[in-house]
Amino acid sequence: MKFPYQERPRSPSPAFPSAKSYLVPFIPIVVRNGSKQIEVDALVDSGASGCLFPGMLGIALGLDIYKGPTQAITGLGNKEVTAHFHTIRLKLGEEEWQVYAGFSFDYLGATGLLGQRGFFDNFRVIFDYKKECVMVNKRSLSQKLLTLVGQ
Amino acid sequence: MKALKLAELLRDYDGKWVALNRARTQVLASARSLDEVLRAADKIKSEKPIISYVSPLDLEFVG
Repeated sequence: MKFPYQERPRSPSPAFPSAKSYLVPFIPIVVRNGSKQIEVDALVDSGASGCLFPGMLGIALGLDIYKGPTQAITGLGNKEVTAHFHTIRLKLGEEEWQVYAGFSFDYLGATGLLGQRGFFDNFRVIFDYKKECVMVNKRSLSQKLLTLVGQ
Repeated sequence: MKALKLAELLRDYDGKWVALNRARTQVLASARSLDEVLRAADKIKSEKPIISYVSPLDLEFVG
């Protein structure tokens, strides 16, 4: 599957005085819990250890967010956010799979983050900034086995 | 493949949540909170919108 990057708006800054937009690898993904589902733009984020979504999205999907076990998460600026983990399903194109994903009421800066655990372990991902697209292909069972044995 | 050109469409939605049509040519609903935009999106019967967050324009995002 091939998805175009999204050109998003930004304002100029001292460092980038002529910048009006930037490219970001957001892809449309369906987040599902039972019969409830919502499609969001999620960031394909190789720097994220797992998949993370806004807490309010989880509530809309019928999850009892605070009942999920917690994990503290940090990124830039030493700021810590708390995520509650739940098992949900994600759907991308025709592919659907189960994910143990975090939901947080703290500011995430995106509608969803698709990280290493839950996304990159299921798909081979190629970012092509020059061609303005991201290619996402489901790992076959043999590829998964080779990864497991370190090949 | 070229990037989806959303910069001009989303420029007025600085720091807001939006519900986009599937062709991504229109903002069908917008709100300051995800909760509000999800409720607005629920009322849209013509199509199932895609929910997205527009980062504050003066911030560069590092995931």
